[in-house]
Amino acid sequence: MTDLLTYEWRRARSIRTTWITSGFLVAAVAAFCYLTVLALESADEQGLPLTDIVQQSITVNPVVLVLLASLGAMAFGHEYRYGTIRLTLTAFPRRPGVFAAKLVMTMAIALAVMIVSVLVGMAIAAVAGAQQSGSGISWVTLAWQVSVFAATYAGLAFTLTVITRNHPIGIVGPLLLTLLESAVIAILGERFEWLPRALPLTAMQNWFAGVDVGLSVAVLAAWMGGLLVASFVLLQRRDA
Amino acid sequence: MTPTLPITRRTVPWQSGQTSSGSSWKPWKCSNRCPQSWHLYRYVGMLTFLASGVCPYRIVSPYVPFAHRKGSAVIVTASNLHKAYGSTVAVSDLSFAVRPGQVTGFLGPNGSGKSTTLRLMLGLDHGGGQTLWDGKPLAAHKHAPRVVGAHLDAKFFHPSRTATAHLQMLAAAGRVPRSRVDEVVSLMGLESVATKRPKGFSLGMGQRLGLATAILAEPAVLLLDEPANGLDPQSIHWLRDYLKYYAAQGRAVLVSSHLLSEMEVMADHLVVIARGQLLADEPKAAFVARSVTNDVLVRSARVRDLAGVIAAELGPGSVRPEPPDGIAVTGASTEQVGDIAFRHGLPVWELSKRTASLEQAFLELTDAGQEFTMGGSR
Repeated sequence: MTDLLTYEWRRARSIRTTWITSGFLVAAVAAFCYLTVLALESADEQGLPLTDIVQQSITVNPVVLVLLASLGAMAFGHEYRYGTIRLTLTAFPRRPGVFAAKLVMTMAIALAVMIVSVLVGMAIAAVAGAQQSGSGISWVTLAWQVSVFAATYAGLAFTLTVITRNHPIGIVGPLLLTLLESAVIAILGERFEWLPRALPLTAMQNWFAGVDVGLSVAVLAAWMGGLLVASFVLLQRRDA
Repeated sequence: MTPTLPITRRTVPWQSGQTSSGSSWKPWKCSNRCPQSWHLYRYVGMLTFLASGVCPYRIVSPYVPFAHRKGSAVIVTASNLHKAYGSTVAVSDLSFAVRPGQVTGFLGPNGSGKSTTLRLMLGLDHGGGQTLWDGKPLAAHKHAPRVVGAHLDAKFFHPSRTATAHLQMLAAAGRVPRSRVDEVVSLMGLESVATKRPKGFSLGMGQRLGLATAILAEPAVLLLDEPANGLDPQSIHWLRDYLKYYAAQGRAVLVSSHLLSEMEVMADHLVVIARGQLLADEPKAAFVARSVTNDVLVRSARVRDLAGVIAAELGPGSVRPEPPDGIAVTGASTEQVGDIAFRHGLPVWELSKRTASLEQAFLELTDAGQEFTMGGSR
């Protein structure tokens, strides 16, 4: 496993896209934090606490969503796009190990970039004049919510890329899924009241909002687990 | 300027015990050729080394050059390989062995299933049958890159990852030290483009990078799919010498190629397939000897009479006309044909043995098995 993780780390760090995407993600969070503080000031409203600004800048920012999905899709997306999956699977013929190492490295990179984004976003928001204290979410809440958000979107992109073997679908898939969920809820939500609670991204939002926490966690875990199992089985069974 | 592969064996670093930069190994570096950076650890590791004689790096990362590996010869046995895409059978019940110490040529017409077979052997494609590498599936080996190095396509690289970074990434798979990456870059003549992104590489440069990838961990078996495509004549010449040298070290080399002239001088053994089925698995000399083009040409002023007496003695199928004044005799030596002519008092203008080329033998054998033909139906 050490060899696989080393291999994955070298794979990720040796392409510019990883660094460019990570840089844009941090910049997007920072810019959103700054613009949020400016918008609240110009509206002459009472400012949001620092943690709330950072949380909002990450979890409701479509640019962050796409960039995060891009990081998640890279692990297998580039491999399939450029044929290097055959080099990887020749060097490491045991596919479960390859799947696990790529998943671990993808999550590690996504979380690392999120940590940097949060720190930079907070610094920018603080400099721009955001409230340092208040009745916002706690630091602990911010940490786990951002972590879950990053893991969910990077994981969605990761699994969709393996399932479709298509890098662009891996990137836009999570965004499309978000839009699809909104559309489904708007059309069918009133008729089937249980439906919103059974959808993964809505379940994540409910979890963050403290609504039906147990059910929301179970729904999100079931969706993510199902997608991971499906992508793992397909990687195992399909030709490289 | 396009860099050129080195063409002399002097530049094969491990023959002289030199690094690519020419410096000798220090005694404390042991025979494991540990990377320079590792020796920051030597102040601690030296005690272990002196006490046990085992380099600490070797314990953590047991990369051993091929020449120092014990029991390193690997025989590859492919058994009953089968692959179908829907109703189309690409590979059908294919069994053969790739033996160490020789270059095995893997021949077949376009669409005959060569590349599919290589992918099946490596476990990249799923199908029937199995391939054993030294008696075990590839996945059962701890470090697969030390067992087999494969080069299947000249474009299997990320366009924005530099050639060196590409090799360093793959080096992690076989725990190959950085010094070996430098050696391979030097060996393949890639120094001038080592830090460049390969998106602008020509086919030939892509082939060099692919070959560098395949030999990186000094594997016991090399699997190469059309490795000479896009290489200039000098590089093809070098590649031929290198593969023969590589096999002569006790390693197995399987090369799929359409360049029959190259195979003629490179391969010791041939595996020939058509429509996914095995047509021949034998030494190259035996394969060529089976060709009907191995015959004796006789030219004579009385060629009809000569054809009659030879057919009477050797059988009617042994003679065919070679206009304007000759016949080709199969299944007999020049001495036999000369004796027949002498006994019947027939004049002979020319008596010569004609040996088939690999190309002729290949065309004869695969003619019926050609799935995709150019120039319309024959």
